[in-house]
Amino acid sequence: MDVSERDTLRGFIAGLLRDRDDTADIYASESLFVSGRLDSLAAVEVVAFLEESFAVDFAATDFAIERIDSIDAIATLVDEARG
Amino acid sequence: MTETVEIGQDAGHLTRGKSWWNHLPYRLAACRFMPLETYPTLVAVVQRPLGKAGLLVVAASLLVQLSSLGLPITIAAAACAFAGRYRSRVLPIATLGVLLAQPGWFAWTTPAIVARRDGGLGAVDTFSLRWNMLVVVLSLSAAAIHCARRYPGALFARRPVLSLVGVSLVLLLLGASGMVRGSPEIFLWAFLTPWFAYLWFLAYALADQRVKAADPTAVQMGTFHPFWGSSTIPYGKGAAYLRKVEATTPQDLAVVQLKGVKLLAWVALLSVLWEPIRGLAVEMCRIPTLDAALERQVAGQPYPWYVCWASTVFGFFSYMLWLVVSGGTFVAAARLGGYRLLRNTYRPLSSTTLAEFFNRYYYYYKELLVEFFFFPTFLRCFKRQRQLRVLTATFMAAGVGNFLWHFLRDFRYVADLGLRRTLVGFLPFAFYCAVLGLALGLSQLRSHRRKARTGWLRGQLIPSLFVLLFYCLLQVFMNTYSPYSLGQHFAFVLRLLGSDAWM
Repeated sequence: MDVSERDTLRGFIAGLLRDRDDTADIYASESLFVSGRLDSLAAVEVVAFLEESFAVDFAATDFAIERIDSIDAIATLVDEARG
Repeated sequence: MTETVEIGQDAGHLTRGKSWWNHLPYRLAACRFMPLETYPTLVAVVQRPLGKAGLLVVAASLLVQLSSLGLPITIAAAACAFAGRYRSRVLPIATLGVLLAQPGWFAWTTPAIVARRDGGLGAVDTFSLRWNMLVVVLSLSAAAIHCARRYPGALFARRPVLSLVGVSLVLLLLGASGMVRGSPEIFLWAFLTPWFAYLWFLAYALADQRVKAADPTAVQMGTFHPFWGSSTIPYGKGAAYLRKVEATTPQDLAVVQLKGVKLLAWVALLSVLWEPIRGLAVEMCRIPTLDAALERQVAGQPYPWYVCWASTVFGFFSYMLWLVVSGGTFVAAARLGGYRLLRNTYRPLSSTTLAEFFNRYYYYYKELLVEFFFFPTFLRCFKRQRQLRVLTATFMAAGVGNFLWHFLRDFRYVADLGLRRTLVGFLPFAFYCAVLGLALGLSQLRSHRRKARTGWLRGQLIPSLFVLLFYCLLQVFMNTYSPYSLGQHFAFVLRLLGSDAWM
């Protein structure tokens, strides 16, 4: 995942947090779901975003919410999905 | 390396440009109950030996008020908390200790019902049967976890929930079919009793085997009804989740434990405050339970409509309070042991959508449904039709998954009444699940088109009241097995809506 893609992803996550009145800083390695900052409804939006923007096929991966729990984890998932 | 981004918008956007009076609801909502963990001196004190001991004494004094196992749980939590990097290794021992203190954490009534019905109670040593079946189920679970790791391509490793539910239904049908009689039948129901109690713990453990560095089998077994307690819903999910929420530094541990004590104090306070309210409602105002109000209506002697409303609203809030207290106690005990679990119920009354309420009022049950029913559907079905995809996945979770979970939990009805009568008795609950599944699906779709906030009254209070009204009315159908028909439940709801006046 290159820098501009990472920025796009970070902007999307920031938007989700903002929708939930969470305006605190976000760290790339920081937990989003396990920490409770985002909920499973947001996970649906993250999955749909990754499918549309990065062509990730989740049906072909072993999905667990921990795999999209941080910006770093999502970047790793996208890189793995691209082979 | 970490990187940050400023999200920009400040939290004051909700109240900007309004009077102090308009700010008040938001200020009240932002209030925090005893923010102990934010005081650096206190955090430093509870890292010292005397502070640790003091914290445990306070925690134990609160826990014994809330749980019959307050003392064993405090000891187990202390052992886990101060085990440091060996915490995951101590967890199974702590869990085993509490299990030995209360082996009958789930109801053992089903085998006794079957034995009494067949006149075979005298032939069965119920005490040894309990222990034997508990050992059999836990050993089978350990073997399944081991095999899932060894053979990741096997069906039960790839689709653990599908496999476990399938096996469970086959065994349930076998028990209900009448093909097994006498002692084998009693053994079967005795096996199913701990099997259904531990089913969802095993599901999490099998799902955990897919992560790269899965914990050893013994550690996984430590999460089966862990020492902090659970219903048949795993509070704290499985070992992989617990590893992520474990306190890693002494300061982290101190903060987590202080949050645990704070949560214990909160649920203890709610219990104390609720008692006079309950006394006023039940003893002075003589508000009947929802079941009693329904029974009177079916018998042709209905209570006045306002009494029916009172029993519905009181029943709803009683149930919610029970969830807050029981779930809060489990989560607080886990936090004392060094696990930073999220609260089970978090400000449900502030929810402005149906989906938000479901998310806030029973977090660990919602997580179970989402992980085992929602995502498997969402990731596979209708990928090109977003709305249909969300609706189908939500219905599979809140409708089908919700029904299945309760049906398997309440399997005793199948043993007692037979399959046909049980299914008929579950019809109102099936209706509840179907309505909930559809409503939550639609609520999620509406959430995507969220409008700008329009002030506290229209943006918060009115939507919140609508949400509460919906769940309040729907709970009329919430009893899993009901002796009354779907039509009789409907008649009760119609009465609440004023059918006397317009029919």
